[in-house]
Amino acid sequence: MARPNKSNKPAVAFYDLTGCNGCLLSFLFNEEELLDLAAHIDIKAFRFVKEIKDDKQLDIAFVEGLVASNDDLDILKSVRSRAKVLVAFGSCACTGCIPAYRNFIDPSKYSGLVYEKLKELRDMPATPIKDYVTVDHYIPGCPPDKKQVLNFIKDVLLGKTPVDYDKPVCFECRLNQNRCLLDDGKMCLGPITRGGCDSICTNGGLECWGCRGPTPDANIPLIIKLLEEKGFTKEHIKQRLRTFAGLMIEKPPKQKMVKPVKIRPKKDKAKKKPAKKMKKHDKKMKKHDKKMKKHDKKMKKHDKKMKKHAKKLKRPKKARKGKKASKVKKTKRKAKSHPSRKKALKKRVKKKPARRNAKKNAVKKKTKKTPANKKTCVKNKVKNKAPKKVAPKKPKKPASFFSRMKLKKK
Amino acid sequence: MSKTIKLEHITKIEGHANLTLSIDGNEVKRCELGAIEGSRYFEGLLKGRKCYEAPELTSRICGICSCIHTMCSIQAVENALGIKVSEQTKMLRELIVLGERIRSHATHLYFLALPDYVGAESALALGPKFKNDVLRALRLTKLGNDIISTIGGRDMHPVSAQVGGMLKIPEQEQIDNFRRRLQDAQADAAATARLFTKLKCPKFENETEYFSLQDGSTYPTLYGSLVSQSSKFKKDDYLKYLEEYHEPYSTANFVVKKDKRYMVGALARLNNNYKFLSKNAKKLLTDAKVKLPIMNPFMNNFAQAVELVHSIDRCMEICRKLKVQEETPAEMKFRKSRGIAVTEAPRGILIHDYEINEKGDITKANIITPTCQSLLNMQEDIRAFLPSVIKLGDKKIVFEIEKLIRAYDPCFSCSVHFLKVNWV
Repeated sequence: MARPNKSNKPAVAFYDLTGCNGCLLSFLFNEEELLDLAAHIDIKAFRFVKEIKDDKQLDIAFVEGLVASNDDLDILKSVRSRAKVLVAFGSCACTGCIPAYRNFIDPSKYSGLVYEKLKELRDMPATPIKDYVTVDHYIPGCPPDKKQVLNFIKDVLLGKTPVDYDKPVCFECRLNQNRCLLDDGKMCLGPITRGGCDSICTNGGLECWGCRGPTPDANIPLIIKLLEEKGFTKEHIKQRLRTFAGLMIEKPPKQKMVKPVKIRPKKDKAKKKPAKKMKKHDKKMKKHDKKMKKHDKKMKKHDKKMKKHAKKLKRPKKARKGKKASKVKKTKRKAKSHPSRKKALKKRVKKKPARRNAKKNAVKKKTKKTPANKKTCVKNKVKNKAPKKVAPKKPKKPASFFSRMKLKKK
Repeated sequence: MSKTIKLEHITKIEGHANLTLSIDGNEVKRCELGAIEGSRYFEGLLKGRKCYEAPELTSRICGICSCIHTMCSIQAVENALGIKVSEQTKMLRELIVLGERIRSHATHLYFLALPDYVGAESALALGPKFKNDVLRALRLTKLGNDIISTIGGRDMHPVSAQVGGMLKIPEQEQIDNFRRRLQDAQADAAATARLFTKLKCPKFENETEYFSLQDGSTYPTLYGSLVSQSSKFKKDDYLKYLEEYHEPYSTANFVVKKDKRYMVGALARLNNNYKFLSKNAKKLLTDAKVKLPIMNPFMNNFAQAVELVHSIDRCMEICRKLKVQEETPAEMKFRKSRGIAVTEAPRGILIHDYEINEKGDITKANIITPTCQSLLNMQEDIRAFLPSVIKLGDKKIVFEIEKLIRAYDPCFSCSVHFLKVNWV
């Protein structure tokens, strides 16, 4: 496919949703390389340093921050529809970071802070962007290492596929010859946290808080148990785990909507109240309808399956005469399905729960991936694999990095 | 004939903000400036957390001034727990804060403000004529970043500074190295100041109250009481004087002092504390022949350039004094109490106020950021400034107003973690 712009430079854009702008700054802080880099890419949007020229097509779009208002969602959807590769840039975009910790606390704690504001600014539950759109790459970190984004762009320019780092922080921490902070009695989440940060916090003496989210094979129950043995309360440990990547580890509890504090008392309260109720009722009904539709779909699928199954049941009766033939068929089927079946199976096990959760979440938040959106997401030119999703916890898997470490010690 | 101008997602500022103007002839009917960033409810998130975790959480309020949030939060907790830290810790903390001021001012001056004055779209698009300026900006940001990451452990959200002291203490050699680098940077800072003295600011004055810290002996960073031309009060009494309120068009709070607007930031600091500037900075002030106090908000850029010169001198002074020794952070003893800390962020006064229970959990938190305090002043300045540009045509009006907003160096993501919005 031909590049959208005349020059051969890739069109790169940086967008910021709700967040602290820290991740974009960390890109700017590549003081020595910045000017060279700017000569090699065509920066289309970077609200922090220049006017936005919303181009129709973007090669790479970096999105910082998370979705916390309707406005954010609109920007995100428009970016996704235009970008070939969408990169979740920073922890807020990848895991929800600290703002998403709000999903785990009692709304009464901040109810005094919720005021009635413009309707179009409607507040939304704080969620990472992958709940709304497909994300092609993740650059986690709060903030990401400034060299990371540089390397990402370099890789793209050289035609390489950027690879996500998934070894735990302990790996780099050991290489940096730091004292183990767990041994010092600190609540370090290094063993379960994705590295790639050069263990910068533990180098500075602070325990790892888990800002990059859990590794694919993180054994969370084990780390909770271990930290409990160190004398921390379960509540405190959970708070820590939820601070940066809570949504990756567990499902947030259902929360009641907080009633906003009214700024100006309105006279015609009596008229407005029923309208609100009706809205609520309507919403409930809509939800119900959606559920019913889903249920219908499921039932249809189920029926189809049942029909197929019935056919299958019929088949072997015919094929009984030649048993060998049927065996050959089966092996053939295996070979067709995947060359490396084991790997594929493993991936499936990892991915399925994440997708399910994401779908459920999406339904809860009353937003869907619009079909139009999906269509417009042109597959990336960089030939990267299907978007990786950080697998949720898998308590059954026994051998985590940490347990291995423990074994070594023994 | 009336018309409405809407500026959405103003660029080259930190965070998201909108401005709605409606003009009827030569009269400004409506002028509403508001933050539209999504809310993050940081004060709510802090409730129930251990007090020593607060610095780590609150530094995420803002990327560009993360260090000062960390320091302010640490000091609030220390004030609550009655912890006194060593002189060395104080100096190291000041170095981090000054490093941040150098970085933040350099970023703002060159990347956000300068393009407006030289007619470029962005700093990266400045022509070869300005290549030296951009390189200078990058050198200054790098210096600030290096100071922060050497002492704080990381250039953003520093990790080594914790309640009670520093987790990691830099080597003496590193400090001496900085002294040399700072000496080299003095020329860069002076060149920056010269550049921004030369730039022509629109002639516009709008008197207001200028609030800043003042500790009576040094140019303010981390300590002191709140001072303006007409009043002075201790940091613990801030609630008696300052009041927060909200408007439906903004997700950030507005802060007023007895129903009156006021300004914080580099200009306010300069107006109140020019006596305490370093020699080089004082010389610069006399060379520029400005009348103090400066009432022109556009001159905030100039004030930042002066501060840049001062900050580098001050850093050198600290590096000269500092003889590092190994020490460990003081121990914490929890008690039921309240701690207030007021510090000077690059953009002005920052207040952290926590209530802590016997277990060390935070029960109540209140954070007031600089942009919230300047927001009303900014809005009123726009209202006052509009008539002078009203005949210039829409594009020019927008351009001039954006210039004014940028001069304030607002930081909207900071200002919006408190409040907002209706969940309909």
